[in-house]
Amino acid sequence: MTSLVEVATHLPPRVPLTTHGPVIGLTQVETRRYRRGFGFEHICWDPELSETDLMLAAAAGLAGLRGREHQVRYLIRARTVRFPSPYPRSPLDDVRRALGLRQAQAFAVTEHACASGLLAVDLAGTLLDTDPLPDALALVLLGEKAFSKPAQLMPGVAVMGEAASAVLVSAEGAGDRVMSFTTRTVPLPNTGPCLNSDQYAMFGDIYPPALADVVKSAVASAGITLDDLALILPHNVNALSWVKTVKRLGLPLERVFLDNLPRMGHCFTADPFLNYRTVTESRLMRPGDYYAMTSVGLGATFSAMVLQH
Amino acid sequence: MTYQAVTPRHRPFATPDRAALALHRIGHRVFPRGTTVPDDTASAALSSDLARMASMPLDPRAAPRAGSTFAEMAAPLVAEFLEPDESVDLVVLASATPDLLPAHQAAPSVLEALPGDPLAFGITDQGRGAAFTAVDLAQRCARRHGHRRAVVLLFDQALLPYDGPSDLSQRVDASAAAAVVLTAPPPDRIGGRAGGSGRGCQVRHQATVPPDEVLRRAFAPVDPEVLGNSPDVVLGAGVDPGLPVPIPGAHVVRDAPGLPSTGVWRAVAHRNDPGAARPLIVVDANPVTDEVWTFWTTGRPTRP
Repeated sequence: MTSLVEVATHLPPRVPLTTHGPVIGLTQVETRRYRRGFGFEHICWDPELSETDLMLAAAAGLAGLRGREHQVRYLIRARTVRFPSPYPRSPLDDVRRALGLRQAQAFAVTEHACASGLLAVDLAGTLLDTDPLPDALALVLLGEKAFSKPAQLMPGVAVMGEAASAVLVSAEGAGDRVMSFTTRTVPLPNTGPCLNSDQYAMFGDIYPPALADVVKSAVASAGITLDDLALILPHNVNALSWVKTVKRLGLPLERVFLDNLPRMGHCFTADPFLNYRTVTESRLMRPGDYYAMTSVGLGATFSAMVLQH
Repeated sequence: MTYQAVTPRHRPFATPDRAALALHRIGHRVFPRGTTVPDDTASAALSSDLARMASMPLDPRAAPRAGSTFAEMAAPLVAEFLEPDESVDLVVLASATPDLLPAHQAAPSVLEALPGDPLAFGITDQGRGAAFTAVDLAQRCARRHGHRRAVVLLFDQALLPYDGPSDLSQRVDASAAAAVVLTAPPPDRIGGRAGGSGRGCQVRHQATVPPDEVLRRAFAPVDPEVLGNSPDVVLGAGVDPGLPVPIPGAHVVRDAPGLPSTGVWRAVAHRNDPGAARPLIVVDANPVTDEVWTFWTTGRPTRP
């Protein structure tokens, strides 16, 4: 059964949205709306850090990787922005070399936008399940640079942050066990980091029911009930959207861990894993607890993964 | 589409009877002219900022030229190589180069054109290896989840807004796409095992391979049944053309440089084997990362 052996994070400095907003083109009125209406107070942001440095900083926190580099067969980058560097340059290959992962094949998983992270973990499980080496590992890297205007803001949804996460995955190891994964794509053609007003309206309409449906589906596939979920570790977007979603799930809003939203921003594919680290460091889950990770990608893809701590 | 995966409690590797997908159809098209101009604000900003971060000067001639997006290239291939009643479980998009409109996802448009409600995702950032990884993932997803039909869509896109690579193994000369249709063979008449008898295709990745050992290492994992039956061998432009092929009776085709993701699959699509009866081996390599990929499949079994 797929297991998260270890989760590490890198948090760049937190910048107040009052100073970051003008940098990414928000007016004072818009900045106030993203703070008070949507809940974003600080954004993790480090313009001096390169894409390669960001991934290496996240992986540096994995104590369980040291001495096991030769076991890592897959280095998987979950990407929101599909093409992370000018062809044929590859920061991911730089990371592979720097970490000494000589046997790993490295590639990026895309097309689920910010939901690519949970998909990458599921695909890592698939690769490991079918790998002939019983002790093979996968390293999944999540989060990315908000390097360009279209990648710095999702209008009406989120302000993007640059915190990153590294997840060591095994097929049968000790750690948090992946019980189920559900993903649903509702095609909104020609979408990417930017939606036009019609697409945003459509996205807003389908968002709460589609997200609630995949959570219910993943919970059912895991053989548990919604009441069994100790926590939902979400993607850090517009807190108001969660009010609508938990109403459909029949869960109290307190079951959704939203503490990092005002502290980090929406960090692309990394959010659920950043929240996992905060929750485990704060001992908010007990061994044996079930929890769900969620992500939504513009496009639009809705994903939920149920795990046992 | 709702894709649901329950993590298996037992590893599928230990259950080789699980259906394996076989190469069913393959098509390749070059798209010399397109009508989409890559001038939307988001895509232009992403491309220029990426180039700026990498200290690569933008090519001022590239911006106004019209071309074809991945979704536009996929549409005619899907129409030609998939029947409307052929429900697809999985579609994997793979490329070495960026899409013409990098800010816009291709999968949602592709999904709308595909029969069935498949899971769709993309593989990038692996150069020439992305295509092999896509086929490998399709095969492994099928083994884990029992998929019956998968489509791998491969893309090359030549209109780069900066100077492209001149290295032969990385050069991209044209926009092109390939569709690789994989299906689970019907159960054996004798054994009743879906996908049994080793007829599914296989992919193997190997790392730390010195350039002069590429072919020796590439052929090492291939089934003796394939090696001993005069296979068609397609070698990608990442393989040193001076390396001899150590397989007696092999029909060797070396792909010309210029199509890093689709080139070898063009050669497969154009091979003179209409019944797909001969075994097939496809090899490509990345001399920069010292990696080698091998795809092989037995030919269609001849029945008495």
